[in-house]
Amino acid sequence: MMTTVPLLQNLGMSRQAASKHLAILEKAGVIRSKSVGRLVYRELNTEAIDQAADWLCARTKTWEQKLDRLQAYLEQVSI
Amino acid sequence: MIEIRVERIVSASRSKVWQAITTADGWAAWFGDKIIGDFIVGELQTLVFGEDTICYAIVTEVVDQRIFAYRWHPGEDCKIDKYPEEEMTTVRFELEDHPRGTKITLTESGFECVPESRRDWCLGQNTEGWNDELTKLFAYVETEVTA
Repeated sequence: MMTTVPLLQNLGMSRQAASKHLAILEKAGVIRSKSVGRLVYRELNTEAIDQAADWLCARTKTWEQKLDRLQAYLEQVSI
Repeated sequence: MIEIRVERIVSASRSKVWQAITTADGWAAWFGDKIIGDFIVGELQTLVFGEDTICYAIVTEVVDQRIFAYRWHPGEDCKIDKYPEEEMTTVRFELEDHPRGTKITLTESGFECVPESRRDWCLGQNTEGWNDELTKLFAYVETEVTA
């Protein structure tokens, strides 16, 4: 969890650009914000990214199973 | 673009693999129970799985013994025009010679265009489906790309 200032130092972009990026990330659920006094802390919501990765892995697995069948078929037929 | 990629090297000639992915007999042997339609660009194909699951695909690219591609509503039991055309994904098989036979590169792309309302579609029992975060993440990626 960190505030905007150290984030800016790491990213090397203007405050306006960073704010725009952070707003998009928050809207997408990739980061969460929490206000403490005048400071806004941000943290990564890894659950959102994990869910995306899990779904794409499942879809990939479906194709791997199809290609397993294709491979087995190619080995059993002779041309 | 969000894309799935699976690569496989099979100990078979390119012509043999080509026959498996672009003929009704070959296709039926490993993908679904039956396929109806010609393997030429623009053709609408009907894919039958089991007794009552029917999917449709439109052939988009055929380069002899190298590339076969189609667009569909990914693995979903529905008519081709049930959803907007831009919500389809593209499945593409690319074949290359390899010292051990043939390299198959399969990609499925365009998932960022599939809306949240269809999130449960093609995974069946493999997963609980995707969730809101994924749709939001897709929206984010799309926004970032076009910003």
